[in-house]
Amino acid sequence: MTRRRSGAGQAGAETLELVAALPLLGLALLVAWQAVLLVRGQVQAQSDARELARRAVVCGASGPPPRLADVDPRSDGSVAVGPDRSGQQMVRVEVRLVPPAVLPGLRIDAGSALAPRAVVVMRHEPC
Amino acid sequence: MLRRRRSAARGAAALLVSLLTGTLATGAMGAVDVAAAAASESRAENAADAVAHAVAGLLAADADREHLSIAVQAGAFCEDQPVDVLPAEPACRRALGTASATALANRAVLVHLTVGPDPRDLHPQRGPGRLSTMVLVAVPRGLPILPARCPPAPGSGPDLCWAEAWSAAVEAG
Repeated sequence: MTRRRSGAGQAGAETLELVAALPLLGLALLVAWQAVLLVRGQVQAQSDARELARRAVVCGASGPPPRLADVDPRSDGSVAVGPDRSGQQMVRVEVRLVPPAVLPGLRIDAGSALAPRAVVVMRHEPC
Repeated sequence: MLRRRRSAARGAAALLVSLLTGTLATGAMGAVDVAAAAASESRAENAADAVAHAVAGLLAADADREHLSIAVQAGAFCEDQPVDVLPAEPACRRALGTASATALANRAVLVHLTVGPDPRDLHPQRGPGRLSTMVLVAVPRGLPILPARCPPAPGSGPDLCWAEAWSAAVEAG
């Protein structure tokens, strides 16, 4: 009688351990997926910054500075275009993207340290 | 007997938690390294493009570009390596300075710069022709986990520490 009870108790404990570990496993998968999204966002930010910089340095470029929506309409974020400290002919483009968050309760805005960020400095084209 | 079973159950639980923790830690470290590696590759490509574009743009409007064009057509390349260098050419000096400054502004290191003639213009009686620029830059990967120590300059150790990229620009016409 005692042995049967202890055997059933052990099986119950193992089931409980498995059930307790499942959320941890799910959380690990979400963290991994969030990391993949952040890496993808970083590469996207570099690509956007390069394209925006190329547009900004074209000879005769006039009008408002290029916007993120011009090169990457699906992404949300901010763009800063201005002269670089290294020279007046240098244009500095900084892109910050807002990555999608899959972890519950996590919000990453463009100013966050986790947000994908890219800086490209290019020289103005001669006219 | 009962005590043995209980201790075995506790051992299994501890093993499961240890395995999960180890998997999480290893996965997190790997993810951070992969993220840093992917970002540095992209940054190196951007820096190489920016440097090649800057040098080509500078030379296109340089007052001494014709002298430089004739010199490189004669067989001497404008390079940052001590082989066939044209330091006396002001346009070459300016190109080297612009390349270094642009690489630095993009947080990269200029590894190699070559300004040479466009092969389409290599025929007699051509006179000054188009210039082609080739650039190789390196960007520190900044891997937070491995390798623990990196050489201070590219090319002096394992290249896990530095991401390299090259780019070229040829004048239109």
